Parts: sequence; structure tokens; C-alpha cells
Amino acid sequence: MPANVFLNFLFLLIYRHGSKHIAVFLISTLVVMLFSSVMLLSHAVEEDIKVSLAAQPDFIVQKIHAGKAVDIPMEWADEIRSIRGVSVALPRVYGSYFYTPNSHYFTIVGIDPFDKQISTSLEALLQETDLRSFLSEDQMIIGQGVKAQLDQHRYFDHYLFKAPNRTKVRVGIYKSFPKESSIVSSDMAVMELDLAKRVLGIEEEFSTDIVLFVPNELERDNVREKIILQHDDLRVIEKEELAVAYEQLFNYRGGVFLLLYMIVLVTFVLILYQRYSMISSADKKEIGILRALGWSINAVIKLKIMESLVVGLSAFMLGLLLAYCYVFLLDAPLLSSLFLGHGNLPLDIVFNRSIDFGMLTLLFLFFIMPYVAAVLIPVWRIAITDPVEAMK
Amino acid sequence: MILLSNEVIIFLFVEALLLLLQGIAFVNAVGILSRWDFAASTALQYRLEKRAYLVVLIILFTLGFKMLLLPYFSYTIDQLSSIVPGAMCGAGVISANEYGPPLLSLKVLIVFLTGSWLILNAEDIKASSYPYFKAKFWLFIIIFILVAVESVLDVLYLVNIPTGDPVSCCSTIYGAAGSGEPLPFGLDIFRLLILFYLIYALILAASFFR
Amino acid sequence: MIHIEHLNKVYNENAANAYTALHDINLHIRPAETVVLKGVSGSGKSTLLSIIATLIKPSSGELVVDGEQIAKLPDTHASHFRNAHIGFIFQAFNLFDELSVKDNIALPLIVTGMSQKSIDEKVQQAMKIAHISHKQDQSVQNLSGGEKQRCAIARALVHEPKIILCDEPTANLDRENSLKFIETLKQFKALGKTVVIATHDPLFDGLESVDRTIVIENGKITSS
Repeated sequence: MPANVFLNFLFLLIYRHGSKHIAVFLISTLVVMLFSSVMLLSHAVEEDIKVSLAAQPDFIVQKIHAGKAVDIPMEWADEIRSIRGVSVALPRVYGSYFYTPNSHYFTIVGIDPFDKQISTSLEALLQETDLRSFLSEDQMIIGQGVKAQLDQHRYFDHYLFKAPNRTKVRVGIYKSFPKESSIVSSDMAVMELDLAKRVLGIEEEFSTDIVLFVPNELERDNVREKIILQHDDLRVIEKEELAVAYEQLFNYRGGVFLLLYMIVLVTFVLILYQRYSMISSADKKEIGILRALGWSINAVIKLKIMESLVVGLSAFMLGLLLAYCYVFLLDAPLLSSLFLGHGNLPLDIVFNRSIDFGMLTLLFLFFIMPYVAAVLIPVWRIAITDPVEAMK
Repeated sequence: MILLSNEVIIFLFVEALLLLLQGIAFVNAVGILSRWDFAASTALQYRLEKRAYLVVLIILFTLGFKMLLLPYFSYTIDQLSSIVPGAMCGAGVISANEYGPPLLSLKVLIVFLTGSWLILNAEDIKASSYPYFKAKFWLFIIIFILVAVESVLDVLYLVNIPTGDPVSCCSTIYGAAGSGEPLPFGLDIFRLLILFYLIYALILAASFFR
Repeated sequence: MIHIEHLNKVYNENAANAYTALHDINLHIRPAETVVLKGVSGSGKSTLLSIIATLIKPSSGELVVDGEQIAKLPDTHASHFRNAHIGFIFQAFNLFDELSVKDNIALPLIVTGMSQKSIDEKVQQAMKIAHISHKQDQSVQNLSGGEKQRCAIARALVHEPKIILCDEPTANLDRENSLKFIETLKQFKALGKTVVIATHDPLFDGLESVDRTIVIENGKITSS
């Protein structure tokens, strides 16, 4: 049969019976929206992490004492730099500072403004900073999360850090990060290297760890070995390991949501099955008429499946649209805090609007498959109704 | 735990749902086959004919989705390669344990049987006396058994993917480094090409002479 | 046109409440013949009509319509046969109340594979024959009984079947509309249709347009 004739009739029927479908449509939309939001969010977070990881150094070298990472002498960085294949080796200074008024941790990051920067985002930040005025006194650049915390206690232009040696360090607030930068920066306070050491209580000739870049992939295993040979109390972390760890973390966190969602989906399927199994005598009569007029069981099955498909598809598209708005325009209130779930600073982030085709297919299949599966048996049952009985 | 990966969860969920539906179809198919008598005009026979519509409907739906699921499976496996250490692509992941390769062969076999079933069904519907009815139901029963085995293998395979030990990566599998087993069935590239064009010609000829 | 031999229909076969609706029916209806099946309700005339329309399968016997054995066709083929050969007019009209007259009449054509254009043409033609063209865009629920009947007649004619089956066509009509329906029988005759009417309405007695009256009692033909 020509598709358009059939579809014309299909849409006419759906239009006339609109009120019958509205409940299923609304529930479906809600289910799709819930699921798509989680998936879009998890995808956006993963993408974000991938981007920030790409700029990370290839190796991180830590000094280990009694199984814990301790401060590492800065001169070791020069030793490592002399290994063939290492292009850059930089001592890094960073650490957590406990902000007592709100019981939150800030991440203090020390930088040497005149050396190569570890991440491109820091590099870009310094590009647009007037170094002369930034370095003229003890100042810091802070992320949105830190700014919100400090603003709350009216520290608008400076904050007094309590250093571990019971001295107080007064640090001026130079400016705050723009909101659009990545997740990692929300709880960050960037300051000059020596200032950061004072705040964190790190001795002058030491740093937190050493990072290095090894451009040639094939050299990496050699470099790793040589570093370990130099000192035997070192831990060498490779970027690949970090990437896998992150991926596993977020993939699994998404997985837990997915398992919860699956329970929702099963419930939804049962509701659909129930709904479509309730066949009114009016519905039966209509099918009886069609059958008497020469519609085969197969044609009726096709009509009914298409009918529920149209409802399901439109619910899918609306749900997806709503999820998109929720995640990318409203920044996923509620869900994002659940999902990112750090006990630390509230993450004030804007997700990159990334949707890939593969994920859309995934969302689609995962919704429409159970949806159609739920209506198969009810549809068959209505299609085989005895037309003579139904028309009485 | 590889089982918590999104793609794997979705894959197994969809797989389980399809298996459930096919199970329903299977029970009905066995019931229909055992009492089927096309010559009879009994109410029972007419009930069975109606029930057969359900079985065919479910088979069409599930087999259709199984076809879609195969590329999704390879997509899933490919996604896993970022979690499984050492693997750079799906080919590395599939040979991560001993269940992988037979599973893949089984999947391909099921696709072939599915195609045959679809042809059989189309021919059966065309005629007015159900000439291939029993044949297509028997074929479905075979497919169902294979699908059940496949589902078990799927779970075994996915549960047993190691996340700790590195698996051999693609270059070893495809023999890019010059060693290892390059292709299945002991084929080399040249023989594979011949085989490919032979099958290609055969298909062309078959469609030409039908 | 319609050949029925030794046809039986038993409901609930091999059960305690088994019930024979039709018993050894033999009936031959020629092309373009108009036949009235007369009997009280429950006599089996509606069942016979449904069997001819392949809506019900007989328990035994032969049924040949237009040279085709149809007693045991699978549903797809039976439906195709029904769609090609049978026009059905029901006692309760059996229209889709929410749809317009035009859309109701088009229902049998949707599964034929026709284009929308030829469907529209056929619908217009059928509406003209049944005198319902002026109401074509009205929703069926706003029609009077007589108009509903005319809509049903148009729907029975729209796919140009050779056979028209009427099941108690006047039961829900007043006298005036019943007489109008009887007038349409002449039209059916003029169009060369084979018509079978199942009814107990005495209005159909001794009509000029009826070729034969067959009486059914308790599932048996008692006079023809």
C-alpha cells in the first residue's frame, strides 16, 4: 500500500483519538527526559575531562615516604631533565587548604609565571594577566567556587590564610576565573610559587611533585625506568593511567544511574503493557469494522504498532529536547550536584554542548526497544479479536 | 567491574528483553508445532493460526533488533577498549578471554540464520496453504536455542573481561608487526580477497538468475 | 457466484456446551442474483453471512465464491478476498463516529494499495450513488439514521465488490428509510451486484427486486 495513504489514515486516527494517547505520551516524555539528561550530563563531563587531560603532563613524579606522597626536592627536577627524551621537567606546588568558615577545601596552585606552564588553560590565563601588577604584591587568581565562598564572608579584596607554622599570610584577590573554564578550576586559587609554598607550608627547596613531558611515545617506558633507577623512593604516574582511572570513575557513576533508570524503565514497560491491554469495547468495535472491510490481521497489527510508535517517537523527541534544555541551558540543577557529587566546593560549571550521533542512537534504541516490546502482545491481542463478536 | 560500563549495561538489558520476548515466542512455537494440523477445521487449529501471528510478530521484532544489536555490540566493544588496558580497538577486546572468538562466530551464524528465516517467512506468507509453516517454526526453534547460548556467552564474556592485565593490542592481532596469527581460518590477504570476490560474483549471479 | 455444499458450523466443538449454528447447508447463488435469507434471530442467518464473508470459518463443508475455495484461507488471503469481493452493510451501521463521512467510506480502500488520488475519486463516485455527497465532510456522529445507512451503503460499494452482504439492514431504520433502502436494492441490481440479505423484516416479502427468499430455521434451510 502506498505509505502516504496509510500514514494519512494513521495520523487522522491519532488526531481523533488524541486524548487516549496523552497519558502514555506524558509518561514517555518524562522517562526519556530523565534518561537523556543523565546521559547528556555524563557525556559532557567525560568530554570535559578528556579535554583537560589532553593538556596534562605525560608523567607525574612523586616522592614516597611510608607509602604517602611527600614533598620532593626541587633539584631532582634538574636531574630528571637531563634524561634523554624528556623535553620539560617542572616542579609543581599545589595542595589543599581547609577553609574553616564553610568546611571546604580550596586547591592552592603555585605557578612560576616566567616558566612554561603545565596546562594550556593556565598558560592562557597568564596570557591575559598583567604580570607586573599581579606580582607587585602577594595576590591570587581564584575560581568561581572560591570566590563565592569568600564573598559570603565579605573577603572581597583579600584573605588571610593561616599557614601551618601558625603565621598568617595576607593574599590579595587579583581577579577570578571566567565561568567558562573547565571543571578543574572552580575550587582553585592560583598564586605565585613562593607565596603558595608559604600558604601551604612547603619548605623553600621543595615542591609537591615534578611533572615531565616526553614527546616521543616510544621513549616513555625507557624514561620511566631511568627515573626509577635514579631514586628508589619514587612513584611515577603516567597520564594514560589517569585517563583510565577517570574514565572508569565516570563511566561507573553513569552506570549506577543507568541501573536505577533500568528499574524505572521496567516499571514503565509494565505500565505501557497494562495501558495497552485495556481494550475498550469501542476500540474492539473499530478493529472489528476494519477487519470486516478487508483489513488483515497483519494490517491491523501494523496500524496499531505504528500508532504507538508515533506516540513514542514524538515523546522521545520532546523528551530529548527538554533534556537538552535542562542540561545545557539550565546547567542541570539538582542532577549535576548528584552526579558530580563532590563534598567539596559546589562546582560552578558550564557544560560543553556536545552530543554525538552514537549517543543519540543509543538513547533512541534503548527507549524505543522496550517501548515497542511492551505493546507487541497487547497489539496482537487486539488484532485477532473476532470481528463478528466485536461488532455486536 | 566491566559490567557497570554504560554500553555494557544497555547491551545486556536489551539482550535480556529480547531473550524474554523470544522465550515467549518459543513456548508458543512449541505449542503450535505440536498441535498444528492445517487440514483440520477445528476451533483449536484456528486459534493456533491466530497464535502464530504473535509468534511471527515477536520473531520479526526480535530478529530485526538483533540485527541492529550486532553493530551496537561492536560499538560497545570498541568503547571498552578505552577501559581495558592494552586494547586499542574492539579486536583487542574481543580476544580478551576465551569466550570472545566463539561468541563472535555465533553472532555471525545467527545473522545468517535470521536472513534465511526472513526469506522462508516471506515465501510462506505468499502461499495460501502455509507450505513452509513447520519449517520456519523449526528454524526459529533452532535460532532460539542458539540465541540462548549466545546470551549466556555474552554474559560470560563480558564478566570475564580483565580490567587489570593488558590484552594483546590490534597490531599483534592484525599482524602489522609481522608476527602472530593474522586472519581467522588461516587465510592470508590474497586468499581472503579471492574468497570475497567469489562470494560477490555468486551473489550477483544469484540475483541475476532468480 | 456462491456455492455452498454440506456446510456445518459448530461452536464449542467437543465440549459440553457444543452448539450447532448451521447444519448441512447447501446453497447456490447465481451472479447478480438478489437473495433474502429469512429467519428469526438466532436462526443462523448471520453466521452464514459471516462465513460467506470469511469472517467466520466453517467447521466443515465447502465454500466456493467466484471460483475460489475460501473456507480455509489463511487470514491474509481471506482478508484480501474480503477486501476484493465483499461489501458489507451492517445492522448497526458500524461506522467510525469520530471520522467524517468521506474518511469512513475510504476505509476499505486504504489497504488496497491505491493512490490517494484514485481513492478520492472512488469515494466521490460511491457517495454519488448513495446520495450522501452533500454530507461528505460531516462527522458521522452528527448524521441521522438514514444518512448513516447511506454512508454505510457508499462504503459497501466503494471498492466495487461483486457481492454485497446485508445483515439486518433495516433493523435500526424507521419505515421511511427502510423503504428507501429497498429502493437501493434496485440500484445494486442495476450495478450487477450479487446481493444476500439476512433479515426478519416482513418489508422484504414479495418484493419485485428480490429473486429468491430462503428460510432458515434452527441452522437448517427449510425452504428455498
